[in-house]
Amino acid sequence: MEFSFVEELVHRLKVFQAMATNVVTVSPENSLRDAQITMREARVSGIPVVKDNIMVGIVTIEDIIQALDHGYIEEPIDRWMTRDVVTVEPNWPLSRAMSILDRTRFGRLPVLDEDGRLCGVITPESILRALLTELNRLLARDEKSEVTIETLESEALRLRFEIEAGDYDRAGLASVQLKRELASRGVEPALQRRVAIATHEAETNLIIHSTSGGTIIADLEPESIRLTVTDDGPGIDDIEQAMQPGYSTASDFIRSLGFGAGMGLPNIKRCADHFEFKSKPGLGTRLNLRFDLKPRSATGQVQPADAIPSL
Amino acid sequence: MLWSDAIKALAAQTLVDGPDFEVKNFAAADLLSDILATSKEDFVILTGQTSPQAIRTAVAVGALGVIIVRGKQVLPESINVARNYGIPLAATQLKMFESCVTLGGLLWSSPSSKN
Repeated sequence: MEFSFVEELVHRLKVFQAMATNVVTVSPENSLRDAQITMREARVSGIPVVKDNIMVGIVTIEDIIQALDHGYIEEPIDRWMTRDVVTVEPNWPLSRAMSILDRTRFGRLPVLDEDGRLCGVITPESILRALLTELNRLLARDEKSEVTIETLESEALRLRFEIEAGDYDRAGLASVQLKRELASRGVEPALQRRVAIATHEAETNLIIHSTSGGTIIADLEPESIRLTVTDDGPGIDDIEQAMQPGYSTASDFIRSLGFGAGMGLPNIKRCADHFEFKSKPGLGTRLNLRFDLKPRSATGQVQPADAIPSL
Repeated sequence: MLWSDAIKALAAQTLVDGPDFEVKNFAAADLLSDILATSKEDFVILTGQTSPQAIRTAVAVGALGVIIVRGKQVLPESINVARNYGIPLAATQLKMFESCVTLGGLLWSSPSSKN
């Protein structure tokens, strides 16, 4: 299956990011006439019925038309509302809510938190607004990543990059910024390249696979450069399998961008002088890398890797 | 061969200019992962990827320049990234295979850059 950019986006966005939160409600004791007036004033076609903060049903424009037709418009909502309401949860992927809307042809889906409290409503309009806002945000971002620089007590310089999950647009940004920093500090080009490649692979991994992003810390010490890459999930089940060149769980969309060929970890290992990799499902992944400032071979150049099909 | 020779041979349009330089090798790939795994030196990348990510990948691996093949429309953002990091960028109408054949003919007939 081929994933378009928008499909990837609606999968990444959560329901709470796309719901309308200024929801007009009615109470079950109100009459259907009250509901009709409220709907007209709020310009909505359906209203959740709420009692003591808990949603007990929904009344829609069709219910009002029926009530007008059959002459019970002055009766309480409680008697005529739909009680069996299809609802969604705030942390579901937006795509899940969209497929329910599509399947049921409902005009709205109330969003309930775990205590059954109404926290918003998903409608086609709220989805469209959320998508446009997200697209705008993505387009407006400039060529800067979230980098902070500090000097440690040991006098090492620490660069910290925060990497967002799903942020394909900025893949490689931490890598090129770190490389530029290394260049300005006189680190030799071959070492710059090894560090940049490892950083690129690591940040791409965080973007593609992490649940909520992660952090890359680069410590520039007198004898070495240390990279620490951490995330808090989902963690890797079979590390040996993940280290196999060509093994990948990336989607077609990610592959269409040129990533996800399954060579990240072996390539990182090839570039680093010291490689330590820890991961636990449910806990997260930690990668410790060290690059020695003294060249590891006569030339200090990137070594061809036996295990990696190289160009 | 020189970068300018490659551009001429491929009838490529220059998008980001810079001082001319010697090219000893080329890396041709659409997979950025493949580009990241190369151990070539003094090389130029030929790719069908037009995204800013592709340019950043070229910067990370220390490529000397990037040529985009198949006449693809290059995103203005990508041109900005290339300019920002001082990496020459050009685009050719030729397909990947045709570009490789053209450049291979030039590269391996020139004694100075035989590899």
